[in-house]
Amino acid sequence: MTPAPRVQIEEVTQRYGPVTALAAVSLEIADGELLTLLGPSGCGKTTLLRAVAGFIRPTTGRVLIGGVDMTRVPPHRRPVNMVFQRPTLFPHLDVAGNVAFGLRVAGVTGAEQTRRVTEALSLVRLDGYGDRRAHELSGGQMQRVALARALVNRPQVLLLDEPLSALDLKIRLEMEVELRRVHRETGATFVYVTHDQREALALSDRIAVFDEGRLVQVDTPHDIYRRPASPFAARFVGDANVIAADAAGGGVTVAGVRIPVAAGHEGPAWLVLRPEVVGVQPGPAGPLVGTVADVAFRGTGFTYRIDVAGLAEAVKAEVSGGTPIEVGQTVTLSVDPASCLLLPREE
Amino acid sequence: MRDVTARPRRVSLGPIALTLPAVVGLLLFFVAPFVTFAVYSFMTSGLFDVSQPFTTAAYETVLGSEVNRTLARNSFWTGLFAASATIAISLPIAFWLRYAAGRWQVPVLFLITGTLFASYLVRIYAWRTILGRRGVLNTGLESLGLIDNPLEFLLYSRFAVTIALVHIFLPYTVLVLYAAFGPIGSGLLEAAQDLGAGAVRRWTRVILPLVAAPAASAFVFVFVLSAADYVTPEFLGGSNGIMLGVRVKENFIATGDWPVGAALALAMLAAFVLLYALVTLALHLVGVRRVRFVT
Repeated sequence: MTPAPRVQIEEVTQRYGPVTALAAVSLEIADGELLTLLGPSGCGKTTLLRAVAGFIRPTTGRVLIGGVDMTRVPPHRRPVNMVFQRPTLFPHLDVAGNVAFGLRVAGVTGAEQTRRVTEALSLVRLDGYGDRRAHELSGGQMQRVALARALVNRPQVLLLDEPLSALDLKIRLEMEVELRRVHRETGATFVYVTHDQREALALSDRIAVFDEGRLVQVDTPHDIYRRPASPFAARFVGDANVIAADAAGGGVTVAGVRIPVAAGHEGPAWLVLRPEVVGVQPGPAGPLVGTVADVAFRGTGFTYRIDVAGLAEAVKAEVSGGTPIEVGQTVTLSVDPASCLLLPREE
Repeated sequence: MRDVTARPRRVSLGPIALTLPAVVGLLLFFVAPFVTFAVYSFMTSGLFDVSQPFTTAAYETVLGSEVNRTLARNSFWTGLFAASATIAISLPIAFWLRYAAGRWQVPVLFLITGTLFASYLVRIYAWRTILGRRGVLNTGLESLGLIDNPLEFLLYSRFAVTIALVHIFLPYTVLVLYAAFGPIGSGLLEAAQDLGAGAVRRWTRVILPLVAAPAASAFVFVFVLSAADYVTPEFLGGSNGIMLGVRVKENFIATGDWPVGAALALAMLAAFVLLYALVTLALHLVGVRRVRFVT
């Protein structure tokens, strides 16, 4: 028997006048998992997170935490804590005072408080930083204090609202490792919000993809990446090429070229091709030919955008190693049919 | 290009030239009169005149006077009530303006600072009209049937003086506190709420500690100006609303006893300096330090 979910979101809708920020979203978050709400700006992911935190009361629907209906409970009485996009450390308290804030409010004092604060600072690898002040810390350190400040209260759910987006790339990558470690060590339930699909793929046990207030797909990172359920998910996670095509008799015709894709699908379709499965050869060596519109060096290889006659959008291809092919050159594209994915298309 | 390390640097004239007018102004209009006052307080009185020998007689008169002690108490309590009431009223207003006013922020701020356009004297007169026996307040209460005879204590009393002083200083304190709330982002309050602090705790553990220093400054500001005021008590104080400032003025303009007036003024100054020291000490003891905000 599967254990009860830690968070249950039932048919939550949030409307602001004529704008619908969330449309009947239902989602279950398992105990101890790290679930990411992923999507572009304005898709509703932060709205949903704040509804779980209690800063927003949804227009309709329920939010249950630990099996208890918390929809009407104000934020300060919910067993959840949040790490915000900006650290928002209290400037009039030192690091230890910040971390102890929630404990003090809850009436935890003396030796117990000191012990837990030290424990929390250790968890985020900031031992000995207790008497520093916010303005003496770097961005990454501030977020780690914010993380300790939230976790010290042992919340049922830890909510993280794009906590790394204000940090430099290098610090962000280090923090990703820290976050995974903290999640492992505490075994707590994390709900993470980001628009960075790479971050989502790296951190999550499961990803919930949002598009304009609707929940589009919930799956493991691997499954969303390999088997996106919609053109939107395919484009957003993995930046795949999504090409309109027609499927007939065990194959698909794209730009006049037929690709034998075993899909069992007939009629209008979307052909989903991840950039790394598109092969690029210089010169006109095969049926699928195009012109290089853009080349970007990625360190490990190159990202090409290739214009193909008959296709509305340029095809994105990632090639590792090799020498760059210049803009304007003719190239031949090749695709392994096994790496192709077909999705139904509505006309 | 000159090698700056090879010879001693010349003192740059620019900054000195820019601050010189201010320093001269300060010396002429503040330091010089103050020193003159201090000297006067140690001289012998004549009629609208001072002379040698130097003596401490003026201070003895001032500090020994029973009337002065009563007036000092009056001034102290008026200052205390005015400052406390002003801060107590300004805090919620400034809070609302900063976090909840939305598009009402500008109009309300304009209204509040707009009262400053009216001269101080005009506002005092306005209170005379409102609080008088046939004033707006009394006639209003009578027509509502709440009282039979006009309330006498409203005007020419310490009550009237205090109300007028609060009204006069409120725009200043609202602005000061509104500015103090500026760097306290709403994110900070949300974080406190997330950590379990309800409205009361958010005030006691986050907001008040962060605005304590500016609020204390504003408090001292209003206290000193209120306690030392001599115009408001003269127009609205009647016989039991007189305060020390009036006496200083009397000594210089009416009685002509300059040393006593000066001694009284300096004694008041000493008291205010003591107050400022006490407030600073109190803040320090409570643990309020200067706060560095992080953007």
